[in-house]
Amino acid sequence: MKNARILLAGFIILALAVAAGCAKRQLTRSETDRLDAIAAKIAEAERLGAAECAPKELAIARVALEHARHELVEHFERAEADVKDAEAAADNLLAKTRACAEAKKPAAPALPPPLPTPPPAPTAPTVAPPPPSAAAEESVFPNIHFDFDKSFIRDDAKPILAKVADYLAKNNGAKILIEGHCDERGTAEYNMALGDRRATSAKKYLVGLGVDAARLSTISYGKERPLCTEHNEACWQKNRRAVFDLKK
Amino acid sequence: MKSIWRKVVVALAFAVLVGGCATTNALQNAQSALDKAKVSGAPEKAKLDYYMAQTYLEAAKKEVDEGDNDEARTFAAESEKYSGQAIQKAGGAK
Repeated sequence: MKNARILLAGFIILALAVAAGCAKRQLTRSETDRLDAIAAKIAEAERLGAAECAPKELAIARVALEHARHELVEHFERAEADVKDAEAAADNLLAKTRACAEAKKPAAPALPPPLPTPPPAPTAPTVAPPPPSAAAEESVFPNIHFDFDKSFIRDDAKPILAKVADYLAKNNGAKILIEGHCDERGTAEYNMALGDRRATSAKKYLVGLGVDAARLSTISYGKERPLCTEHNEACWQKNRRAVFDLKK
Repeated sequence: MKSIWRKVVVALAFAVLVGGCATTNALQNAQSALDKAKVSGAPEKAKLDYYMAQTYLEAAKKEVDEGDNDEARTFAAESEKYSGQAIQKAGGAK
């Protein structure tokens, strides 16, 4: 009887140990940001033609990212080296793809298409005044939008961020102020912090695409500068945004 | 009591053996598919798929070294999948 109890206890301890070993952990925000930055580099390389230019490097970077994600979730203690490997693989991929894309450009280039220029200063409205920040809202780049109470970069924002990064790569003197905005729900203090996280998230993504962080600054307006003042989801979605303010 | 322990040990040994065999088989299948892809001309005709298959297989072997048989089998399966795609794009196995 005593032996049976000892055996049972042994099994329970073993089962708990196995369960603990198999338990998957949630990624922290900074880990998610790191993985997103790697994914952004890979996506940018793919956009530049990595499948043709650097297929081996693309394969290595993709698998390294998947491996790093797996290790972070299941074997956190040894994941750091794998994340660094994935970062190095993505850097290598992007560098090789950019070099290849440059080499493929025509030898006698025509003038490049006109780059977006900042719009002229808005004139004062004569009939109905625009919403509070509409005049200041005009930007050469479309705004990116966020989910409610979230600051992660959505898939629909990634092509816009790639365009911003591309523009900065071609215009060395340009700098961008990223504004973070929120909808009207929640306190002013909370939304100020959320707007800051949104602007910072966009900045980190751009840095992940190779933009020098010194050329990007952020500011949060919280819920103080809504684009739309109605009280419905369609309007709130417009307000949950990051705006790219070009500074030359 | 003795017989219970014996059963437990036999069951554990069986589980380890079966798990190990499954991983070995998965790796062998992936290697075999990759070899076929190479022969079919995939390194030239379906570069990305071929390199994906190759890199996944390397990752699977690394997972075996690290003792993670589950992930090794997952990577091996991915490798086999990409080898299949590579063979298809290269015009079939030769």
